[in-house]
Amino acid sequence: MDAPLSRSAATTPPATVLAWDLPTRIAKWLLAVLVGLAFASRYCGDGALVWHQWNGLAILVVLVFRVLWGLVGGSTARFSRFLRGPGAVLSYGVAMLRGRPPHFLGHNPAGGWMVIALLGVVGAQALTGLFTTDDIAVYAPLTNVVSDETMARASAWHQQIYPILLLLLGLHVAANLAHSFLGSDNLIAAMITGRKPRGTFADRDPATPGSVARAVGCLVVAIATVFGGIALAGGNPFP
Amino acid sequence: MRLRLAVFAAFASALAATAVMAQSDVIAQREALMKEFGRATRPVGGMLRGGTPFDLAAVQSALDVYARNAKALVPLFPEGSGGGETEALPSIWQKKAEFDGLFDKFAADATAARAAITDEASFKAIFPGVIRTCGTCHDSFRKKS
Ligand code: HEC
Ligand code: HEM
Ligand code: HEM
Repeated sequence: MDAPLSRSAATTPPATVLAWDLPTRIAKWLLAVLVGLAFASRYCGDGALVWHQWNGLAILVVLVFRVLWGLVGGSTARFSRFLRGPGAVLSYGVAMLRGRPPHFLGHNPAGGWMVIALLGVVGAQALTGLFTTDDIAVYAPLTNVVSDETMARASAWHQQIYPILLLLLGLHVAANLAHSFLGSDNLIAAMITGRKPRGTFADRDPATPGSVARAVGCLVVAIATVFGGIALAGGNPFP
Repeated sequence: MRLRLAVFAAFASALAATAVMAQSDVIAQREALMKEFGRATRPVGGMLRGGTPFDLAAVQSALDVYARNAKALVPLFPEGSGGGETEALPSIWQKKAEFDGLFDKFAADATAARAAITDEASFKAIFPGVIRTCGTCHDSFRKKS
């Protein structure tokens, strides 16, 4: 799978190239774990939903981080690099149907839009969560700054959006499993190790990682945005 | 003949109108009592989590509202009031005994808790069990609008 980097023989190029920098990978798997926990915490007896709410705030932090990282992060994480027009998506789809899709080091043109869809729907679920109540004793951080009607509508959306999210996640996981185990491109391994076997890629390779300082900066801004934003809006950021 | 028909038609439509009005009336009444549940419970929820300081009087008045409204709510779900602007599920009338039983249990729990809750410790021990019935009932008998 992942051949070790040989440093002694400087003449032979390494067998793998960087595809995803560490902050991108941490954000992706953190998001996967936290979204899983959001469902678990709702259905496994966290009566007061305190855990669910903290978990949801953590999801918002990761989302804001990922959006910032899409602007200033590593090359394969940047939206400007992986979002392509409908023509590119269409020709990728056609190539895939023919069974010979080009390899991409980062997201392929279809996958790139799937990333946006996932981030958007997770974001919508988390944002409506901020205004959600169970009509009994649980009132999320921003319920006290909106009218009862808005609160009721947001609560209803919070219950209507997650089935769409589950559908998208099913597609996401199925597509990645198919690519990794039926196709010739092990995307899952790449998202874990950060590296892909050297090869011919349709996009630029190798990836250039974003700097650690910038990642820390994005994280600080993300935390400040979520908790500061709730506090500024007049809510209680600590459920 | 024609007059009799007209009188009959007017009578029938008046009857239908009152039936519709009575139905929307019943729905409005039960929703108002439920909203009162909500208003009484919200501050107590804050006390449970420790966000707002414990206030025995507020807890007791919430429990009084529970016992009073739970009794008043039972007749407000008559057969046929499941249509229109309501979040009541048809399952209420399929399992009417179970539904009414939840209100009875809720009223009884609230009355018992009213006597048993004397300080913050007993409040934190007893109150969550009382309001668990809200969720139990909503999960099976209230539409997720
Ligand atoms: C035995 C069943 C039952 C119990 C117990 C119960 N509810 Fe309800 N609740 C309902 C039903 C049914 C509706 C929908 C009524 C309708 O729309 O006609 C409802 C609606 C509501 C609404 C929405 C009212 C509106 O129209 O805006 C609130 C708020 C509410 N309940 C709060 C509570 C709280 C708080 C408790 C506990 C303290 C509670 N309920 C206990 C059955 C129950
Ligand atoms: C359960 C919640 C999950 C969420 C919310 C989620 C979300 C995301 C997001 C937003 C990305 C884009 C990463 C980026 O560009 O920064 C991504 C990529 C990826 N995810 Fe997930 N994911 C989840 C679960 C999974 C699971 C279970 C798998 C394993 C099968 C998986 C495999 C992958 C892979 C391989 C990529 C890289 C795709 C590519 O190469 O184009 N994900 N995921
Ligand atoms: C992407 C992140 C999130 C996911 C996947 C998620 C998922 C869910 C699910 C599945 C439910 C149950 C809905 C139902 O009963 O049908 C729920 C309820 C709830 N969520 Fe979230 N949630 C997220 C974020 C948040 C956030 C950020 C908050 C607030 C800080 C929040 C607050 C609530 C509350 C208060 C409820 C109770 C509503 C009820 O029981 O009727 N959620 N959530």
